[in-house]
Amino acid sequence: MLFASKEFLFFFLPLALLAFHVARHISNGKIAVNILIIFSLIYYSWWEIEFLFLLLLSVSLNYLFLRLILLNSSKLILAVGLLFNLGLLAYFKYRNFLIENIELLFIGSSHSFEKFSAIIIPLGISFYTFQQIAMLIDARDGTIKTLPPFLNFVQFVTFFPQLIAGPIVLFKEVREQIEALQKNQFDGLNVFGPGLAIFSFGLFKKVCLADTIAPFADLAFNSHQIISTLEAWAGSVAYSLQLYFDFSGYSDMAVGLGLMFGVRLPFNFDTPFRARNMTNFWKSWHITMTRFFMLYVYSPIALRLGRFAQFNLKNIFLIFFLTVLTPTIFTFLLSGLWHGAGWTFVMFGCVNGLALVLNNGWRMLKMPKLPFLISWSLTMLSVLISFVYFRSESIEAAHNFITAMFSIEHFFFPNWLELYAEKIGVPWKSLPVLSGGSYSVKFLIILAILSVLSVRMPNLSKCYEKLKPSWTLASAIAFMLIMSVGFLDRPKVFLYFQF
Amino acid sequence: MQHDAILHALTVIFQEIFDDDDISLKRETTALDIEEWDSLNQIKIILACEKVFDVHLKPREISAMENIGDMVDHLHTLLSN
Repeated sequence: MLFASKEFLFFFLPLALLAFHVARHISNGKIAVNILIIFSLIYYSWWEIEFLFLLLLSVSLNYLFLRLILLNSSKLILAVGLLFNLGLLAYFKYRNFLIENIELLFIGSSHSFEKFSAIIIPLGISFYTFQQIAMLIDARDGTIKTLPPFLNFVQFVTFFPQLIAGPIVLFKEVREQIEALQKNQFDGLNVFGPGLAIFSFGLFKKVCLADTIAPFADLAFNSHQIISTLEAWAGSVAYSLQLYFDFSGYSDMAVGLGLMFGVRLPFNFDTPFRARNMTNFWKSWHITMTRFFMLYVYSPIALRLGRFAQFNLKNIFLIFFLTVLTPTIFTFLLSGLWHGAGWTFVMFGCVNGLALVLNNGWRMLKMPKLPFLISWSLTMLSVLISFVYFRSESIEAAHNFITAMFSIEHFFFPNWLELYAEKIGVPWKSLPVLSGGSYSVKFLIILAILSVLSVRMPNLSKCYEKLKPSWTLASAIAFMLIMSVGFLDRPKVFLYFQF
Repeated sequence: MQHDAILHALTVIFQEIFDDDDISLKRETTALDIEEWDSLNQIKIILACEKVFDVHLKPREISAMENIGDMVDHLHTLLSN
């Protein structure tokens, strides 16, 4: 049951809202929160009921680990907890990948892969596992000092707006909010109104923008063997826009839904395509995932290596290698793998990590600040190349695509421009993807509009407190909802659900 | 070491790390106020604080703080113990 589906919009969501708010009014906040938990579990079961047991096992055991860590601050219990969570993730998400690559390494071919390939990745496992890992580490750090009631903990992990694809929420961000809800403290229309606006905005981004550009991106990536230079560039931009509107749309919907139930979830995107360097890009793209990796992977490693370098190294290149390159590349390789068990995701992480290292190296060497257009172009180039790996079915397909982007041999002319090309004597090659004149014109117009929107659209999830009731806002919400509902029947899937 | 002295020492650390003599820290200053405050620079801040104040900081301590005021208070507590 996707957020952008009829059963969610016309059945599940109204029912959940009605039950939650009626319970708040006629009973009390505690009952309302418990009803919310039940709806979250129903939502999760809707996808695959057997994985509900896995989710509940994960939640129960993590609660036990949390209790033990808070009792004696045990490093051992934390290690066992991390091992359990990472083991669960490894078994369900990386087992095939590991077996396949071990066999390839030692035997030269993979025999078991097909046998194991039937394992389905439980929905949202990467997200709820990470939230719980963060919580255990925070408890050991002393950031979480007291044990919450079990149901508050269940509400934190299973809250359906963020359960399947984030944002990755820290317990300290929602703990007091859940307690406030239980005391029946709800900000009424002050949060419900903006919540509805942000949800509509996110739905519009997903259904009307991401799903509109998706067929063009799909066509380009499915044609990687025959694609021309222009098409490859257009295809990579199209996919980047699709991914942005898809995932930021989903994240907006999550934030909006959270507000409708009285919970402020953190926002996940902050107009990333405006970023003038890779650091800024990763500060504004999938913010809660970046935060997780920076807090729990990068910082501990970089700090330890930094301390070692401070007292033992003098050579600036060695210091750079140890304190900047090593932790950055390691963190981004892991973040790539987090997105999926495949070499294309490893390469996605690798390209981003290397670009960030170059960015930091430039700063450390105190090189002059580049003009905005140059630094922005270099940033977007790195992002586009990393997204080619992210989208491609295999490394080979990604390399075909990137070769097409940079090979002058594949330079283009659409066949409807053939006559002009011949007239001025330019050697030409027809465009297999953008072959039809009307098709390519339509594509380029959509591409241009979405490119502008991606940098100009306001980030409502970030500044929702400024949203005030007005006829303009009401009309905008109505327009976005009508448009979105009109497009609901198009086939779709949220790209980040697979992670 | 008093709060003001810690704030002054932190300002010098920040000016050096961000290569900007115009940085003037206040208790209300946050990471959002300094454009280049990222994970790498945060590690540099921790390392510099450890060296200058002779304390041991945990990797996530600074992230958990809301502003420079929290950082000054935390360093003051560590230095007083």
